Amino acid sequence: MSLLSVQGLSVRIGALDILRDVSFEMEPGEVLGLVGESGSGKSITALGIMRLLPEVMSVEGAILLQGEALDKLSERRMCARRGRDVGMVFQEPMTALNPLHTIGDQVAETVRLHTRTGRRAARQRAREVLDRVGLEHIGLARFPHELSGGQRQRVVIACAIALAPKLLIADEPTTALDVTTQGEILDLLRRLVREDGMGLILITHDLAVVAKMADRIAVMQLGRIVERGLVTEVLHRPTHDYTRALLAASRHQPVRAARAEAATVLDVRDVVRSYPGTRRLLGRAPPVEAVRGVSFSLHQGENLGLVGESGSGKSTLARALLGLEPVQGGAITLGGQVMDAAAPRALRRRIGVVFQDPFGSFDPRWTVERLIAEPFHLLDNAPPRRPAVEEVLRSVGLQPRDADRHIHAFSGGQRQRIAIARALIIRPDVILLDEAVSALDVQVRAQILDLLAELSARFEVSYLFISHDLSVVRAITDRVMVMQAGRIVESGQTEAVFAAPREAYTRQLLAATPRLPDGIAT
Amino acid sequence: MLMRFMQRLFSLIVTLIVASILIFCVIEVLPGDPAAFMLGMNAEPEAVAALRAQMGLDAGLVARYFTWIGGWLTGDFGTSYTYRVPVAELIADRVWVSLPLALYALGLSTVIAFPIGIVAAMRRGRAADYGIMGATQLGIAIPNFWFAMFLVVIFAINLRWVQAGGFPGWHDPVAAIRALTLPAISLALPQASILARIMRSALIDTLDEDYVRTARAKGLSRSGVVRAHALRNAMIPVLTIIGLQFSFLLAGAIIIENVFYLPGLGRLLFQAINQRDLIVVESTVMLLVMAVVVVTFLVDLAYAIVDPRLRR
Amino acid sequence: MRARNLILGGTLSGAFALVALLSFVWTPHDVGAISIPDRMLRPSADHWLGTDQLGRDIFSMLMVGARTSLAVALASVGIGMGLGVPLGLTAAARRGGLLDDVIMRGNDLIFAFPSILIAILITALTGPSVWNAILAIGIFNIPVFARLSRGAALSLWSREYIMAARVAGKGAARISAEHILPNIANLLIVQGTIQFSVGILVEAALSYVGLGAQPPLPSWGRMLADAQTLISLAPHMALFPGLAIVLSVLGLNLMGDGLRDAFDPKLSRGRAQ
Repeated sequence: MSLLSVQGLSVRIGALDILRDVSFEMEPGEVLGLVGESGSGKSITALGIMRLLPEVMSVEGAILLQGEALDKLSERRMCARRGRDVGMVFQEPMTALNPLHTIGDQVAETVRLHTRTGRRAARQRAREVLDRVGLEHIGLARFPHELSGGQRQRVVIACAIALAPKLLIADEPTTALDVTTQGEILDLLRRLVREDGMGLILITHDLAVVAKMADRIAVMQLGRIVERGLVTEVLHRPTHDYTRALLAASRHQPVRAARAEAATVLDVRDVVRSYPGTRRLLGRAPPVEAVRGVSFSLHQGENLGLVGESGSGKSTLARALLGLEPVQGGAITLGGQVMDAAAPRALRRRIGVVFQDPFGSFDPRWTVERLIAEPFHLLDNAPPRRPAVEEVLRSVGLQPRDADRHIHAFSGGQRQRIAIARALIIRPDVILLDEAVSALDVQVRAQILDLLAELSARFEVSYLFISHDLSVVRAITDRVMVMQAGRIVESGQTEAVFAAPREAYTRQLLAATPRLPDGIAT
Repeated sequence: MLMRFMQRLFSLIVTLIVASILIFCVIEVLPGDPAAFMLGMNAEPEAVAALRAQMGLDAGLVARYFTWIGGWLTGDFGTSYTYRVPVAELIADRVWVSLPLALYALGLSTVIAFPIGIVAAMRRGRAADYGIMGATQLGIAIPNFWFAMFLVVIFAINLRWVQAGGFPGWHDPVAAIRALTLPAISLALPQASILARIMRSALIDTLDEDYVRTARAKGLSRSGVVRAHALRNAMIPVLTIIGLQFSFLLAGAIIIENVFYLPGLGRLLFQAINQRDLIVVESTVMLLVMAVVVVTFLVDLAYAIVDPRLRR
Repeated sequence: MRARNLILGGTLSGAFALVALLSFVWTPHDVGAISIPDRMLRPSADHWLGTDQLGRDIFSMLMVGARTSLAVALASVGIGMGLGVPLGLTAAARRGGLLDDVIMRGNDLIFAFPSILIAILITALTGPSVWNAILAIGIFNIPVFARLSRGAALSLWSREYIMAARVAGKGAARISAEHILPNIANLLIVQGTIQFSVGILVEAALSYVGLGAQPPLPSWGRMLADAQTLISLAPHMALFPGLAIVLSVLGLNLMGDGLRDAFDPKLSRGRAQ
């Protein structure tokens, strides 16, 4: 008998179909990778199996767990299944735990809910489970806010596996985590599945994660499963066009011309950025150094990558480069002039920026024309607004008439095009791309990378490409720098660094990054 | 934790000092000469001068401020111009009406608001929710002193369950509580309505949190999640409102005491202001402000009990 | 369904505004006309809501009283917004700095004075008047708007579009005016409606205890004070001014709720089972 059988699962809100006739089977101990872009229905499928979908959604279809029809159970009986027979792990570890309860209580809760276990025995069990997920050194009485993101995700996993369920559903469990932490969490999940013989549904947008983890794969698009099969087969011989397109986009490398050595536009020397320590009863804690003596230079037309995990200081460095915050040591020179918090407008116009969040980067009340033209504030003699905006819109592949619309009318990818247009309109020497493609689906990401490569060649603009995503940086940069704890630990030609990293930290980063196996069809 | 406590304590003290200077300025500096006020328009200059000396008004402003504050620290608030008794005695009598009244009303409003707020949140979008929301909307709109008048008509005049007004004193606790019951109910009605709405929206917000979904995935039922997780998290905004309400209840008590002829701080204030007995006004206002500030401080400390993130 | 609050609240509030305006040109009877023989009449065709202890027409007095209530509430919301919003925006723009600290401590200080205490202190200074009520409620409103706008502005200051404006060389004042204020306007309008209704309630309470509008200016709160001693003899004298307060406050609160729902896309979210 199969572990899980989903038959014809359909979900709709009113007349809108969100999930259409989703069916699949899972064997005990099997890892199923459920892949798709945002909005494809992966999470809805997971919540549908758990029967945790919002009430406004109407659900049809059968869900059999070891032959028992979950869809027919009363809510009370279903509560007895959740956590005991099916566990679930969510994407966002920072908010998935109750901030007011200790982690020990939260793990013990699963045990106490489903078994007649006393308080002390449940805590004992919680201790064992936390040990198992690699938190031997963390006390039961700690609160979530005292733990790192990766540690919190281990606690969430501990809650889900405390009673060794037959099926574990993990919804993008590592998307919010740094790459080394992602590697550790994936290893942990794989170990737990193997040890307990659990089935695992791993939901992800990242084909490389599936390649590393899963036995079988189901590819979802617009609420349907379009292709399924063994991972090795599907990744090497995809039959559906959508799977092929996803694979191609995942390994996409924009075509870029090699360039000759050119003049330096941005020079950073021994830059230090420190924050005053937190206030204490008397005086302050010692200052926190976020950037500790960083030096590099960026040449005209060059694409330079800056890679680092969260907390490495890369965003702090970015704010200093943009002249938004003062530096406490060293100097940033842009075109030969010193860039700091008091820099004049004439200097500021030489650097532009594209941020990560395609949704938070624009004032929702402004028209696209006004948004794109906002940097004209830096010019003493701004050209007529409308023609300039229309021209730059065309450059980034949008229509001139888009200038009259508001930002909510655009998709994530289109918004990033608008963000690029806003940076480009005053023709800066340097554009700082701060995780500019990290929030995008793979296909859109490939298009934006192509656009960036084209614009770089056309306008001779230099990029400083800040990202935590090594594969993206590898695809688009000439040189790369690796940042850790406020310092640049390694830098060099991108291919050279990726092919033969010198520093242990770089090797660790590369090893942790899931990659699609070589030689698969695209 | 200690750090936070000391910070709050410091800002409490600064607020009190600035508030006392403000009150002192308004009462003693701006409106002119209290001695002349007391003796009336046609008083002899010598008489005024003598009274000034007797009241200590011929000392410098700063010296007078410190005399006042020094008196506060030793429990000597001066002597009432009209009653000719120590202000401290006057206030001490009245506090034991106003403070129990405010606390009684606060307790009532909490006891009423919590269950109906929780029911509304759990039945969100259904008939019970709409009914409760409509009733609380009405409860907020009813002026408490108007509501109090009709309570008097119904329960004191028609049904004769309680006295229409007055206060028998605490030597007979049952009678005292009976006398405070109608005032407390009328004070509590609008506050309970507000609190119920806050409870509902706070609970709805927490029910949308990720950790609630995690708890559901562990197998908790909807009501189990509310009990084990959502309620305590919802207490954070609710506590803020309870703290603010104490201030509103004190203010409301000042007015409600007039409806029920209760000899509390409110009545004292109005009598004092009508008789321009400003020394009584000064210390009574200071006392009320102090009560508000101290309650805000206590609420701040209560946050730390609820929320471990604040216990540093 | 959701627009129901807005429609009902808007209608009630609009009706009160209309009645207040109408009272400038027409009332059924002269509000000053004392007629002792006609005192404490029950509602009738001539006196729709009866007469008071001096034989004045209650309906006419309510119409003119609406004027007082609305004027006091409007002026005090104006004071609160006019001072509170700039203060809150400034504090947010200088977040963590000395100015922020000073503004917020100042707010805490005002918060320590319930509006009735402010009214008492002002009365001690100048004697009771309708200005007293306006000022007391207005001062009370300042920290309400300052805190609201600071909190809302703070959450916007961390948005990337504000960063983009800073990269475009714009200063804090310009960003506050161009980006922050328009984006918190909805919140301010909703809070303004709520404070408007609070103003009506507090004005009535202050007038009731004699700290607000003084005779001969008609006011709902004073009408209730007059009615209190006669409540057994002439309950209608207490009933109608109270109902006027309830309906106008209810109308404004419903409108505030309706506006909040209309502005807030979050409400369309579904509910977990």
